[in-house]
Amino acid sequence: MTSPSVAVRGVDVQFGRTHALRDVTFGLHPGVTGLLGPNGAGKTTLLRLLATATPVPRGEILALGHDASTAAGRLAIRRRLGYLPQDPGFHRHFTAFEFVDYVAILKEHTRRRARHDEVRRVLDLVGLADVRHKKIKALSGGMRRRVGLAQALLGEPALLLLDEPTNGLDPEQRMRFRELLSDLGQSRTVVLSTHQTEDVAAVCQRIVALHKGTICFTGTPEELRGRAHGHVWVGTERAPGAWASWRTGAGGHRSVGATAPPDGVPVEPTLEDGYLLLLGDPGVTA
Amino acid sequence: MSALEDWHVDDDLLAAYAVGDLPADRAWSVEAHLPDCARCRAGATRLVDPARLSRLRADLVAAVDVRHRPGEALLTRVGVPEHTARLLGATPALRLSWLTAVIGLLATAVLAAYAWEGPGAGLVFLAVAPVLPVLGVAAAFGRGVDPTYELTLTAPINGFRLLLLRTTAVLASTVAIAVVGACTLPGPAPTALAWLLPALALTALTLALSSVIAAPVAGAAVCAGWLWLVVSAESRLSTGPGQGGLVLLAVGAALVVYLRRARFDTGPATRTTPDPEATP
Repeated sequence: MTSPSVAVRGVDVQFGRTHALRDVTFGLHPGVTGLLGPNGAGKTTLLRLLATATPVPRGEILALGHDASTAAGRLAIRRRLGYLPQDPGFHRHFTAFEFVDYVAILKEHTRRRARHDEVRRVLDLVGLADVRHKKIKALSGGMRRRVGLAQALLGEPALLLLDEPTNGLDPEQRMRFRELLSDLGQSRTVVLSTHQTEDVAAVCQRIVALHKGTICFTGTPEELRGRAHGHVWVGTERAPGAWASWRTGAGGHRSVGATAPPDGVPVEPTLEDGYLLLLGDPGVTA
Repeated sequence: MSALEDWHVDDDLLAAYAVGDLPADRAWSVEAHLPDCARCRAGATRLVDPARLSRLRADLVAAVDVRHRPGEALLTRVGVPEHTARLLGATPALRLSWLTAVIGLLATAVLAAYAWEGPGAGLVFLAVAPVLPVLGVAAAFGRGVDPTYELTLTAPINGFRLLLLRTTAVLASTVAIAVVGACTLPGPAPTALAWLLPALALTALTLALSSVIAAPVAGAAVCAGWLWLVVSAESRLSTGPGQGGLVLLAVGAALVVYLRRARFDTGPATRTTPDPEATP
């Protein structure tokens, strides 16, 4: 296999007495990787490290061939990085165009004509060309999210880090986002941090799952789904000791766990089943 | 059919219009005619160079897309590069609401000086004027203040350069307003300028401290320290040793800022979410 575009080795982060990341090691290749984990698993901490927003306290991060622990390395990474933070923050008195233009200047696009063409291109990509002259404070939450995404796409970055990008998007916007992401992932390394398995199942080629600051799974969506084989049933009752069980629209109980319910019929697992099982009892699938 | 409807733009006139060579009054007359005459429109379409049309369109779109905000337009007019003006346009301390507040505060301080009419008439002005740039700088850069802090950190722009740029802009605007206010103060000229050196020293000190703690905290601490100093030792501030101390403070703080410039390159490693599940 070729060397990874991002290599994370032995990264460890502590906030006071809390261990946010424990000895995290993995590699990323071109394509879309889903960074999956519940709230508080350490996804945002990891993404901020990859985005060079915070120094690497322990361990090593090599992104696009550059060391994130040196100033020169961080600058080289930033020049090829697109980053959508969980809460990007906006100058709300700017219009969408002015805001993306402002970020383009932060990204060293100083030639005015070329910069404005690029701003129009990314706003068009996220479907905001028609509202580019509206002030940010007048845009809906979903539109603001797309303004955030637009700024991340400036300059066709080789590494694209997106923290919960589909939060606040309606189903149609979400579908458009998936289309866009699958195009982007053909030539660059994209990391999609989320706790939504539908987004991961739809567009990700690889999954890195975090739980309590530790990597608990790396592999393909198919492998994660496959780990739930023989652990998902539909029956009239809840399975004993099930990690998750809910009544379906058809009236039966769908259970995910280690033990089958008395009249349970095994069913084909989904990616979400695999993920639920992973969170519920990593020992079951290890 | 009237004679006017029979009239068409002749070829020479249309050719001159197509390359943009007509004086404005004649161009307007052609333009008034074109919407109603298919024949002349076809002629103009044939004669206009597509490359020129594309350039004109790009200029038009740019003019619509990029309406410079009033502050930015002013900066570009005095020679600041367009992209730098836009960066400065995001500085809260350059916004009209902030500048209005600064003017209001200084005007109040000047009025207080007239109302006082004693030896310490300029005391309120001396207390207020130096802290205004400090507040402006504290609100210009950093976590919890700049809404795009995270995006700025992870962009290739040099964070230290941006910090200096915004500090210069804040100082220039605030000091300019304060100079006007100081000129209207009663009393001798030296009193009127007594605030300038502390303003520079306190701003430098705020920057130095913000390489260690959050800028708003640094700003608040510096303001509180200054007010305490004015109340407790105002008479000594205007003496030789007092002024010398301020110069030393300004130079020392500026040196610390320069030596610690790399600290503005990344943010502090802080917890990002309340983390109920993280293991202690």
